[in-house]
Amino acid sequence: MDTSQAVLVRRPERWDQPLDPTMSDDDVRWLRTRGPFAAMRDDSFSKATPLLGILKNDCRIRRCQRGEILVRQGDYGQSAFFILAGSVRVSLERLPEESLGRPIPKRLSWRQAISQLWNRFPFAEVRSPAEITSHDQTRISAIDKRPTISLQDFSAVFHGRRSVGLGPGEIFGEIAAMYRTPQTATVISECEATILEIRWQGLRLLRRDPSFSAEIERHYRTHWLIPHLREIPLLRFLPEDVLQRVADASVLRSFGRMDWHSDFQKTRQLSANEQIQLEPLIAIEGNIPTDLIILRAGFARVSMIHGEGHRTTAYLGKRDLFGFTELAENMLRTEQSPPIPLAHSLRAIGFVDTLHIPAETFTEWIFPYVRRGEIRPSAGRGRDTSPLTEAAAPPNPASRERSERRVVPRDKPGEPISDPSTTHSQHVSTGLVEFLVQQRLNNGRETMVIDLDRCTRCDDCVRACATTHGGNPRMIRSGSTFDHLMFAQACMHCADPVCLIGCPTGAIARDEVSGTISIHEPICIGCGTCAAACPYQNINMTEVRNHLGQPYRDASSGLPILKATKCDLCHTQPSGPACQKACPHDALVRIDLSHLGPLDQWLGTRR
Amino acid sequence: MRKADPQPRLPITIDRPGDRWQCGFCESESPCARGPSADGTCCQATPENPCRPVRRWSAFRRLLATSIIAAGCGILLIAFGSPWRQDFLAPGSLTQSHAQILGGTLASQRCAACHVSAGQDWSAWFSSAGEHHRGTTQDSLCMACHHTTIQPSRGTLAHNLSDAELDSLRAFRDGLENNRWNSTDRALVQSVVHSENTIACAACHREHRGSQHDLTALSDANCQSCHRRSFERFSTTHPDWKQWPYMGRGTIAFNHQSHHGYFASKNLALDCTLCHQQTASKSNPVTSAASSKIIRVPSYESACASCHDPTLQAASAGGIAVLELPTLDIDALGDDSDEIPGDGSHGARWPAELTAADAFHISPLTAWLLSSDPQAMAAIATLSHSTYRPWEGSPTPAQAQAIGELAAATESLLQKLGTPLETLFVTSLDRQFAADIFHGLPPQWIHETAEAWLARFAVKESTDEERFESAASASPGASPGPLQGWYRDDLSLRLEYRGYGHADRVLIALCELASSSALEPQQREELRKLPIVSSCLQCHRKIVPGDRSGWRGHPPKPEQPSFTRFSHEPHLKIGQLADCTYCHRIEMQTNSAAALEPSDFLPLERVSCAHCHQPGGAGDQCTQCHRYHVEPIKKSL
Amino acid sequence: MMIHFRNRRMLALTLTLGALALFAFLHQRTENRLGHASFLSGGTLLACLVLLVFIAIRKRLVMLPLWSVATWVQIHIYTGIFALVVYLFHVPRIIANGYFEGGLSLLFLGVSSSGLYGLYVSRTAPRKLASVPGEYRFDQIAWDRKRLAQAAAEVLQQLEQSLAAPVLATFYRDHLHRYFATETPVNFILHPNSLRRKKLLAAMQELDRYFTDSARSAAGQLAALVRRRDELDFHYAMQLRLRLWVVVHSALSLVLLLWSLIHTFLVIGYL
Repeated sequence: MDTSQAVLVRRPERWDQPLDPTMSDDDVRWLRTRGPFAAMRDDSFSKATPLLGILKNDCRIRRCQRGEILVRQGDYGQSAFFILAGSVRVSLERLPEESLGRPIPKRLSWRQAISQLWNRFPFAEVRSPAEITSHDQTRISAIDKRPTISLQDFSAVFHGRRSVGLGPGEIFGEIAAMYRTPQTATVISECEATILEIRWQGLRLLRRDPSFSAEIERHYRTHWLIPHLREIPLLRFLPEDVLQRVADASVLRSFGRMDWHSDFQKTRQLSANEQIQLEPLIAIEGNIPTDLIILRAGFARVSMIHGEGHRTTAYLGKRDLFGFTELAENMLRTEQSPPIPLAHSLRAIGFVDTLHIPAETFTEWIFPYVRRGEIRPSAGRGRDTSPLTEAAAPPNPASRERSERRVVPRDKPGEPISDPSTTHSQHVSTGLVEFLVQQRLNNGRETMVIDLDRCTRCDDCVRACATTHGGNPRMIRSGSTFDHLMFAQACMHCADPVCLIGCPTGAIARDEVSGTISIHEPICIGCGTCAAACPYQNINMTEVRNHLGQPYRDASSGLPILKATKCDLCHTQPSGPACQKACPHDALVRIDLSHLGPLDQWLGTRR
Repeated sequence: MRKADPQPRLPITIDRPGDRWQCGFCESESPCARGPSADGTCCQATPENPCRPVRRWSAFRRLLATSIIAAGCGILLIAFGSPWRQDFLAPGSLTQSHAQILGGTLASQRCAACHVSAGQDWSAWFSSAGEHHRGTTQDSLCMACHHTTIQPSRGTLAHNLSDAELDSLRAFRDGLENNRWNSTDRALVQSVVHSENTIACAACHREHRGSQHDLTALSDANCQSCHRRSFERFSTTHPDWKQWPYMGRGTIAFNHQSHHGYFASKNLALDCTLCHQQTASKSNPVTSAASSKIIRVPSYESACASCHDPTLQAASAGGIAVLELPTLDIDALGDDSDEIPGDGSHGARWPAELTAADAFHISPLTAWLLSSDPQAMAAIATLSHSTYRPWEGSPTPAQAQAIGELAAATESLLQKLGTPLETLFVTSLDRQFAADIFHGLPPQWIHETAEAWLARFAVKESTDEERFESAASASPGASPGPLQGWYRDDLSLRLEYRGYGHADRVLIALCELASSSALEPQQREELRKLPIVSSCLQCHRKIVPGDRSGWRGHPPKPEQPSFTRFSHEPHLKIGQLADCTYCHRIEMQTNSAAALEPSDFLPLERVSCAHCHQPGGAGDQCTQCHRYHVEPIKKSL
Repeated sequence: MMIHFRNRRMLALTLTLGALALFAFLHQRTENRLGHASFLSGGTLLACLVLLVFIAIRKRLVMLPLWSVATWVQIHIYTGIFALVVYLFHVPRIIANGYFEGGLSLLFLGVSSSGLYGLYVSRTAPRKLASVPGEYRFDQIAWDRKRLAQAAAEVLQQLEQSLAAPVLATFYRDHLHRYFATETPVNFILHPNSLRRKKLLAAMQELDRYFTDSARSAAGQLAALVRRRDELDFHYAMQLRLRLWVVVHSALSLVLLLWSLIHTFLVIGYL
């Protein structure tokens, strides 16, 4: 075989998969004349990605009917919406979930729960007709061959509720698209409206236009930055005006790629060194810290130079700090002692959105409001052996507590200051940290971890999961293994739930209080977007049957009705996660891996 | 640290772990979505592609568990349905004795010998006892056999004694001389699991513990579950014995100390075994010396006779005048006296031998014989209390009358002699005494004696010379001879008795008479002063007239039930204990006056027992020395 | 609420010993007072038995918030230890007299010993399993065996024809085919060891000099399959133990409960 001769193929291009293949050039030209696009200059964009190309491939014109639900509060979005014509109504109050088609499932009573033992069908995945289609307050229809979900009675939903209208030229949903944060309001089309949907890839490209980018950023800073800053525990004592100064001084930056999950299968095969090399650097070990870095979304790897390579010591998630300890030490040092450099490097895993607060701002406006007791000594001067759990300084240990009934308020302020880069975990080895990062298991907030040194392979967990789900378990007792820990195949209820992105009806959604991601089957249309998006393949599309075993089929197309199924943390069962309850040897646990603390603590009890 | 290769993620497939069958994965790589049905048939199976479902572990587990449970229930059903049900259910063998007795009964009835419910139907368990067994308790079933050794009515009482009996025992102990028990010691009964009067047999005697199980084995704690004052160790907290076993004086006033001194003066050792140990008797020389019995109160014959018989013989040598006609001063009555009974002739009714002017004296026994005659008793009283001195003058008319009456009464007494005693005495006590006194006398001899003496009453007046002649012609040798028995002195008109020695029946009766109210106190006193009587009474101090048991030597209150059993025999085998004084020490008193009093022994010291009776030595269990069933128990079957 | 295993063990042992001390005191006191101490110990045993059997109910009611099964297992273990010592008070001679009661004793001892064995194997087998590569679901082991056999057959099928091929084919036919085709042998289940595997691999190693490169690589693949099969056998043996004792333990415990109830009725009736 002559290996020097190449095989000629066509290189895959950026816009091989346009958002709307039916977008015509006429539409594009018309768009070019509307709104902000009219003011944009072509030379702002590169030749590879011209403005027209963006408009053609990364945009879609949606014609909406009255009552169509465009975005839902709490959903993750991947598109911004620009109103071309018509108006939409933004609800300022939280709309009841039933009106959006996804009623909060009621907890089963004890009697109902026990009756699951004998109300078992001999067939898998039995559903009643009510669970197949929603007939209540929403209806699902296809518009432009696009599944949509609409309110049955628009005025009834908004009656007595505060809302605001948005008209042509206004844009919404761009923050959620760019920064992977949940939507903050529900937006419903008020009348027949024409809306331009811009997916986030295009949005990022459009930000090359200075005015557009400034507009977006101004919008963010005006409406979202202060609330985001308020969520950070370090800044909780800052008064309003100081916080405004900090906000004005802070810089928003992004690293990495938002579509990390699409090529995750490839990158996880690489060795740790190669992976580290690929990751974009945010901060470099040995440099004098110039900014306090706060992570707003995504995950970042913290590593130290070790021999010829880099050793991962931790990973950071949302609202974690980097460089705080070094900056604080530098603040407190005397004039004679030299400034302390960064002890670790920071790299973006997947994508990371950061907030960089300059050191001067930190010195002047932030540090005075930090409790002295919450400052830990730097790890640069020798290994800090204090365990991670101690580093989690007071004030709110309740939020750290993992009770049997897993209710963990996320996205809520009040979590203690943690600077995991300067702390050392006793029981989590470097290899495990790197494994977690490599497999992106750090995304999981309810990762099913099985201690193989205690698991007797009895399958009680599988049976318990099956009992609570009509005989079919939502988990598999197998998965990637590191040393004696197995990370089993069950929905991890990720911190960064990529499965939520793209659900056309909002059937898959995160519960605001508990953080559980569950699927509301009546409005699930079985498109399989979530199953394809999940990088861990924890979502399964199943055929559903009635109690006689007959599969449901679509009346018009004759295709079998599929529903997405996955672990739901037994949120309707009185007991909470049945798998964890059922394990007789404390081998299985649903654990939050977005911080190393819980895992470290759990491993510490294994003696 | 082992890092596993990243495994490809498997999509979640249809996996129903609760089913009993799973797909056999015949030719396909993955199972079909349907899976086998509950009974194990596969819908996808075709003749070309036979898919055989495989049984899951849960099915195999169910099978195994069901078979084990079925086996367990099956055994029960078979056992309960078979005729060997009782043998199957019996919880272990009985003790040998019970097993042997019940061995012959049918298995179906064996349990009913002791268990009330065994004889009942199953349904009776859910209702009150059946009609046939109303009121039956297990105790009554025990008593059905054991009533010969324990009274059924007493079976459930504590120590088989009623509360009143226990109280009286307690009082007896408290009232003993030198009882130094404090008041706090008195209450011995404490709160218990069982009440005092309903202590079931099974409270202590638990069966079904194997054939060699000792039914009477009980721990110290068991015994003390009733006793409020509990004793931890025999050698430390067990109370001292104080009066036990001596318990005060017995019926025989025996003075160990004086005997000790006596033997010492003869240079002989006072060997306890001389008296207190019965050696092999002549009649049974086979009995070895080692099996000699220790007796607390030996018999007179074995212990005392060798020394005291000669003394008694000597004391009784003089004999006792049972019937001695009194000497009266008939002459003092004069010729013109009308008091003399008879035909009026002077001196016609009184023997001349008994006429004298002595001071009046009548022997106590003679007075007793006359006691049924009130006139005679009055006369005796008059004469006894008077200051009449015949040689000082004439008697007073009362005295003269008394003399006359007494003479007449004496004559009539003689006439009654030989007739049944009922004619002599009125009270039965007197008759009993008389019967005992005169039992050896042949009736004919009495008759002859009476006739001979009555003949003297009819003698005419004679001169002094005639009197001497008659006296000379009287039967010679009237003093008693060397042999025991009755003697007659015709000269002084006396009936004498010479005793046979110890335990002479007549002497017993005489001693009892000397202690009874049949005699006047003065006469009693006089009788007691007789040598033989005083000899008897020196040792036999507690004579109750009419109660012969008072003569026997026995410990005080022999009928008291004893909670303690003690046998000298095993102790005598130990060389050091062969000397009785190791435990029994005589309390030597220095006061000579008190020395004549019967002396006690010093209290037995517990420490001398505790030397050997230690837990690892001779044993210090309660049951070793104490018994629970306090009624006299015969040897068990 | 994560409590350290060591602390949990200390706490539970202390509680158990305390309960045992209290029981021993009450038992002795009842004996001294001429009570029926066997009623105390028997009643305690029956109560413990009922509590111990309750875990089976708890295991089935996974959907109710009744503490985790792991907590129940800890209670079960220490109650079982407590009951075992109380049993020694109740039946000092270990096996009671009489057929029925002797059978009852054997049942109890059987349940206890299977429970103790289960405790031992549950704590030792997982480590052994984790040290052997591979994770096999018990119910699918038969299928995995078949898959390995198929893979071995395929390797042989794809073997290039050469002079070396018949050597390997013969070896496969004589030894490997049976090795892959049969189930795990019973003596391996009772006493897992590596003798079988080592013998086969050594035999294959012996043949190495007869092989060409392609045959050698095929032999290497077959050797890897042999190792995989051995690991699977080991997993099967260990997991079978881990499952079998539960069946025996729970089935015997139900029979024990039944016999105990009958024993209780008899004792009360015949007292």
